[in-house]
Formats: sequence, structure tokens, C-alpha cells
Amino acid sequence: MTGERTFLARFNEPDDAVESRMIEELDAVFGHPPRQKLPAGSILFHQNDPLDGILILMEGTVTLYQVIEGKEVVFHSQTVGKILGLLALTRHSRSFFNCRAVTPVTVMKIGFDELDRALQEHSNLLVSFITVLVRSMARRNKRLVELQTEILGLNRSLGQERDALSRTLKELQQAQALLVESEKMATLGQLAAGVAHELNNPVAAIGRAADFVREDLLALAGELPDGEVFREMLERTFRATPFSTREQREFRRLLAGELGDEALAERLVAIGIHQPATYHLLTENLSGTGEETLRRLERYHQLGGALRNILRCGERIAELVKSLRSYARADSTEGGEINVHEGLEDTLRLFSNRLRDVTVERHFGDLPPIQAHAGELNQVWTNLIANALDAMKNQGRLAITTTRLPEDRIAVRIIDSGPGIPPEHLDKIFNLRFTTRQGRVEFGLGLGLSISHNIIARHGGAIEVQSQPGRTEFCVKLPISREAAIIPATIPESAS
Amino acid sequence: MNRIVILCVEDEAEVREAILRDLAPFKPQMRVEAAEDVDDARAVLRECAQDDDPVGLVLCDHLMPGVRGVDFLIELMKDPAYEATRKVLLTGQAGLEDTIRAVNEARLHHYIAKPWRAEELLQVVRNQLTEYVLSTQEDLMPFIAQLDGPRLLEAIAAGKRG
Repeated sequence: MTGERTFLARFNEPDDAVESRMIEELDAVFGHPPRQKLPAGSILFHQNDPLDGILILMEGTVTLYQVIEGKEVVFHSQTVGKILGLLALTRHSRSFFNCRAVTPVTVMKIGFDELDRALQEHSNLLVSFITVLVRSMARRNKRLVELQTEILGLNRSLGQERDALSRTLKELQQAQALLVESEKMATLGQLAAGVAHELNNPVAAIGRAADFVREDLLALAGELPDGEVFREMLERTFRATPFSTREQREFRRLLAGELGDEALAERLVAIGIHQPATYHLLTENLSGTGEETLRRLERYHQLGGALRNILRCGERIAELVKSLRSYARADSTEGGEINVHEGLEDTLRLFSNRLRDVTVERHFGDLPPIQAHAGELNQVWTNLIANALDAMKNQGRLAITTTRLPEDRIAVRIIDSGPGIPPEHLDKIFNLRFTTRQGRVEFGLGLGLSISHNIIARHGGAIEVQSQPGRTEFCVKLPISREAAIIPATIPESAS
Repeated sequence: MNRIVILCVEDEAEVREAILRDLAPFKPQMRVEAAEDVDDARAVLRECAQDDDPVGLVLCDHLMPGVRGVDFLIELMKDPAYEATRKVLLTGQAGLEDTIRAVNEARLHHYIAKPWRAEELLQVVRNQLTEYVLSTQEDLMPFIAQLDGPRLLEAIAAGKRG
């Protein structure tokens, strides 16, 4: 081995210089072996072919590839280097890649055995050969690192696509949930309207029957001696508003003190007689005995009270039926002229069982009829009032304010005295939020509000919310006339 | 003699009147009182206490303005003066959760769902009052005609009281 041509010294030489020297030395050792010329596209060797030598690439370019799942995957093209069949040197003489000429190529073949011998005998050749070999390996190694980096990048973009897909899927699920909910509301509305309609006849019949019974009883009483007194008792009880239980106990106490008879006082107060004078007047002017008269008075009092209760309860049912019908009418009328206050009142009436401990304040302004879908707006009022009552736990103050705004718009404000909505939730409160828990879809505040948001948007209106502890206001602004055609439902962006 | 009190707590006047009418057969032996809300019911309890009339039965609606029926029954349970008082819910609107609380915390004795039938209501009141007199009264004889006669006679025969 000559001193100045050390292995390490060659590290500073450019690649082509080292490669040219190796070829010169190979030519010198092997006596200029024959060059082989191959056209572009030629396969120089296949993967796993047994190789008995290496090929030195003199001119042109080749590509090294493998076929993976039916596809050509290129591992090296720029990074091939001058020595082909390089890995075969270390791999039981079988090629690791397929090798194809990209351009016309010129190669020189050297058998493993003769190469081996020459490398043992010619240290110069050994040094150049190993230098070229190391540089080829280094280049290929670098290429592998680049491939790895490419894979990382691909994985990243795959991940992004997967995230985008799952977002889309979630949006689709939310859209479906909205549709299902709307469909359910529509079906319920039809059912309610049907039931309400069916209830009308029996309710009307109950009311009429009570009237008939009253007329007949009054006629019968008229035939009795002192009939006028009993007729009066029945009519008075029928028309009177009963005293509260507190008042009754107070009357009883006073009357018992005056009469000195607790049992009698109890019976008299029960039939609405609070003054000893009234009682004495009655008994003095009636022909029967005291007990007989009292019993008859009690009967007529009870009859009057029962008839009053039948009629009053019938009226309550009739009102509920009316509210239910106009509430559910909704789905049959497609955007007529509606009275906003009627819709609000109907909705409030249907919530009456939750309003027992709620002070409802109505500040209704002078509103013109507006062009809107009555049933859909009722759904909005229902959602907003239900949320308000939920927030207040059915106790507190519910204010409903309606005002006419400039530019032919109206505003309906629903204000509750609940604990308020945390500021961090305010901006996404109209977004859809639902979670799946144990396979069940659970809806929170989000669905009702996002349905309301959609309905209002379709009407060309807007909904806003302001909240602080003790006062949460939802303000719905709607145009009086709906020029624009119905805008298809939009789904607000999900809060992710 | 002091009368045993039946207290009916119901906020709707029409319903209250109907219950009172159904309870009329217990008068005048029992003192039948009505209250339209829990505050009023407390006032009735105070008046009865002043008169030394023991409260045998509270028949209570659940959904009322102010304090709910179940909470009133729980409040009663915590007061030793009303430990023996029989507690009955008569309601159409107590949910499962409230009913469970009534059973566990107020030791509810009976639940009657609205709409009720008069015979059912009378039967429940009769049975509950029978339990009440059995556990509180020395002399059972006066109750034989109005409450569960055979049961009371059995108790008397067994020599417990009478």
C-alpha cells in the first residue's frame, strides 16, 4: 500500500474522481474488460436473481426497485452509485433489488471470484473499491433516512385526513340527530292535534250536561216548600269563589265563639254561612226543623259546588285542548300570518304544571301579525321557556317582553332569574353538543337551542343571548314579513 | 274527648273539595281539616296541637306551590310529635325519584294515584287510621264502627287493649 494513497486521505476527494480511479484500476487489473451496452428499459437483473458478479455502471442511469403488493416501489435512482449488485456481495449472491436501465447504459461486469482475488493482490484497487463502496452505502443510507422522513410526512397528512373525516362524520351524525328530533316533534304535533280534536266533543258534552243538571235541579228545588232558599243556596255556591282554607278556619273559629257550638259552626261555614244572623234569619223563615233544613242546605250547597267544579274543570280542559290544538296546528299551516302573543300564551299554558312557583311577567307590546310558521315558532318558545325553567329549577321569575323594532322587525325576549350561563359557554351555546354515553345519544341544552337557532334563521331572524347570575335573556328578533323564500336548514358548526 | 285529625293538603280547590266530600263519612268522629299549601298545613298542625287533637293521617298532594308534598312528609317524619302519624301521598305528579324519597325518608305508608276512586280512598284511610289507633289509643272500642272493626276486636280479644 503506497503511503500517500491512504484510505482516509481519499475521503476529501470528490465522488467522480474516486470512481474514475477505481475504474482505471479495474481496467488496469483486469485488462480493460469488455463494456456491454443496453437500451433504456432493459432489466439488468431481477430481485432474488443469483448474481455471480457486480456490474460497474459506466454510463447512463438505472433505478433500483422492489415490487411490493403488485406495485413498483423505487428505492434508489439518484443514489444508485457506480456499483450494481452491491448488496449481493453480502447476501449469498442474490440480488436485493430489481435493476432497470432508465437511459441507455454501458456496464462492465466483474465476477465475484476474480474481484476477490484482485482485491487481495492489489491494495490500491482495494482502497478505491472500498472507498466507492462506503460512499455508495452512505448515499443509500441517507436515502433511507429521507424515505423515513417522507413516511412520517405521509403519516401526518393521513392523520389530518382522518381527523377531517371524523369531523365530517360527527357533523353528519349531528345533522341526523336534528332531523330525527324535528321528525319526532312533527309526529308528536300531529298526535297532539288529533288527541286535542277528539277531546273537544266529550269536553263540550260534559259542560252541557252540567248546565242541564243545574237547570233541572233549580226547577226541582222550585217545587219544594221554601224552594227559593235552596235555589239561592245552589246558585250562590255555583257562582261563588270558594274561600281559602285559611279563611274558612278563621270564620269557623269566630262563628263557634259566637254560637257556642263548634260542630254547628263547622257545618255552617262549610256551606258558606259566616254570620250567626244569616243562620238565624234562615232558620226563622224556614218551615222545617233546624237539622232537616241544615241537611237540605248542605245538599244544595254540595250540588252547587259540584256543578261549579265540573264546569270549571271542563273549562280548564277546554282551554288546554285549545292551546294544544293551536300549538300543534303548526305543522298544517305553512307560514301564514300569526299572532306572536297567542303562540306565547299557548306555550305558557302547556307549561302550567311547571309554573306553579314561577312568577310570570308579561310585557307585551303592540305587535302586528307576522308572517311565520306558527308551529315552528311555538317550538322555539317551548325550547327557550323549557331552558329557562330548567335553569331556575322551576322557581323564580320568568319575564316575557315583546317589542316592535324599527325596520319592520319584532323582538321577543325571554328572561329568567336563574343562575346564568358561564361566559365561556355563551359563544357556543347555539352549537350542537351531544355526547354518546353507553351507546345512547344524550342531548343537552344544545339540541333545543340549535333547533331554535335553525328555525329562527329560516325565518330570516336572529337569536342572541346575554347572561349574568340572576338574569339570562334570550332575544329573538324576527321580520314582520317574510319576503325571502324559506332558507334550507343549516347546521351550526360543532363545538369541538 | 279529643278527636283524631285527618289532614288533607291539596292546592287545587276543586280537587280539595272532592277529597273532603269523600272523607265526609269520617266526620264528625274525626276532625277533617284541609290546607291549600304546606304553610297552611303547618298552621293547621299548630291549631290541632293547641286543641290537643292528635294527627292520625296526613293525605298529601305532591306538586304544590312552595314546599312540595314529599318534603312536607319528610319534615313531619323528623318531628317526634308526628312519628305515629300515617303518611299518604295522593298525587298524579310525583316522579319516581320523589316517590323513592317519600318511601325512604318519610316512611310513606301509602301512595294513591290520581284520579282516585272513592272506595279506594276510603279503604286506604280506614286501614291507615286503624293502624294509627292500634299503635296509639288505649281504648279501641270507640273506633270499631268506623274503622276496621274485625281487626280492632281481635286486638281487644287478644287482651292488648280495650
